[in-house]
Amino acid sequence: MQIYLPIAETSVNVFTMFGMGTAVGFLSGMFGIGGGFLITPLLILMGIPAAVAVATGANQVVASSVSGTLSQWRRGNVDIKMGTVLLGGGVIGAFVGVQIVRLLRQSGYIDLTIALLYAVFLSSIGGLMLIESLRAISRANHGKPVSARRSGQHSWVHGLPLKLRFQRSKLYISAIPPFVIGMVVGLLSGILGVGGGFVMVPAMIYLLRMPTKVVIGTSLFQVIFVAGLTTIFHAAANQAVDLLLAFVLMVGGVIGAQFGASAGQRLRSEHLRALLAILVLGVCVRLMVDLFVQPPERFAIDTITTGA
Amino acid sequence: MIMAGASSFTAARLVARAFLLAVLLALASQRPSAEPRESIQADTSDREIAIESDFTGARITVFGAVDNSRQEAANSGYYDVIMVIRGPAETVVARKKQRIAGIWMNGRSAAFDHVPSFYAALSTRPLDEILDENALRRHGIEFNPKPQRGDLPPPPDEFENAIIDAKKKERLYVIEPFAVAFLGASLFRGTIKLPAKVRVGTYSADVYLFHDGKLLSQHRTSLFVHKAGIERELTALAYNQPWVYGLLSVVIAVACGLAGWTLFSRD
Repeated sequence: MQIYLPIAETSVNVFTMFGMGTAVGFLSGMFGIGGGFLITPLLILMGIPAAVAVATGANQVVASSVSGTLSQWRRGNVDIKMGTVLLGGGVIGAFVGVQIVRLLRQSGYIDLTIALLYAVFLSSIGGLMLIESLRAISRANHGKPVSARRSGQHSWVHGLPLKLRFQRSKLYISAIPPFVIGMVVGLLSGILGVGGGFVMVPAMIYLLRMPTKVVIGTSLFQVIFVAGLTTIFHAAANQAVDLLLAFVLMVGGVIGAQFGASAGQRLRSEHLRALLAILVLGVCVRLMVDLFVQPPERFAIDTITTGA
Repeated sequence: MIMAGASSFTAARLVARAFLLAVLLALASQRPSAEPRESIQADTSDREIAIESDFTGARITVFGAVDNSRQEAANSGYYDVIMVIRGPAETVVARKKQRIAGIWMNGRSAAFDHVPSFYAALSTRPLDEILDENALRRHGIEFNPKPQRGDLPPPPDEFENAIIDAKKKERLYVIEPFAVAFLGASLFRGTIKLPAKVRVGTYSADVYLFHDGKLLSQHRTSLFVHKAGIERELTALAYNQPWVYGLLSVVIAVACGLAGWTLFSRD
């Protein structure tokens, strides 16, 4: 069944879009990521203009993270206090990110900038995560403790002022590192149109040393707000949110997120981290191919639309 | 001498006769043009195309008739008809991908104004059999973007060709010889498919009648493509009240998330 999208100004198959939404929602609920970094390139692949794909992807991420957060919150896996601090930084970062996209679009280098940013972040984060989680798995196989939290180990992070007690995360640390992490992730969110979960999750696990299950719930919680604000900014600045497309993606996304959350609950946390690392590296390889392999089209054609 | 005089007299008479004949012939050949000349009327099957949520493209038929047709039958091939359909103009930038330090990125670019968002040329036989390239251009039968910068080589250059190639892939640039057919001595029609990816706005259809490479008549008609129903409401809201639209998008997303959790919770 084909449906015509008013903002994307093209026609797509409803079931294909629904399926894409479900698959990305599943991964979102399982890993605590928004899933925008998967849905955006998929939409572009389906012929949706890049700006619309970015903005509409952010809107779908809101729905699947609401669905996933509720599920995690029921299990006591959402640290609202930590999420709020992350969010404070996230709001500032997202706003700056959207402004950068606007400047880049005028110069025509947006595709390259986005691809390069993706590639750099995904390869380093994915690589580090994979190494760590494989070590943890092998330690588990040898019957040693597997926690990524090495209690009693203190870094410079613990010397910072403004200390707060985060009960759910079982942490007593300064509010500055979560705030800065939130800001960086918000910036990425504004530029890439992704909730930034794939950066947020590793940062919370390795930099803040939060328990993996709480990381997933808390990441999803703050992704709701960052993606929500990104959606509003994109709608206001670029008129690029296609509600009809977003709605079809959302229906799939919220269902997928429920199944993903319960699947993730049954996995051991080091396995969860290894799977996320593989997912992130897979996306990265695809982007590298785009950057370094000769493109089939020798020209990029941009139409400057002047509104409807 | 007498002989010579007689012969020169005969020569003079012959010249005079030839002159008279030439005048008569000229008059005779003028006479048919005193008869009414051919002219065409044309129209489109739809004056208005509404884009609703089930829109997957539209089929438009342009039909017309030759007044005072001298053709005996539909298949006599006396006339050539060319139809040119153009969508609303837009500005297009073509960027050449270049490899810099191993990375493929956008390099040199050219911007064009007045690029028809949709271009179709339908005809009774291939355009180059009807007219040569210069004549086609003179009559405005060409995809004719205007380069923004004057220092580019004259079209069609590689950038213009790249735009044409990209449009061809999306069926937004169509050249269809043999797509126009006569149904009788004077009635003709041509059908074109607009893909789902068309721009909204006013489309023009120019119909040209040729015989032997000579333009006999020309007619312009237009049609209007617009969004209707929910497509129009959403677009209007997105552009007129972007903040409200953004908030609405988020509210719908949150409601969807709640509904998804309530209905599909696996706890």
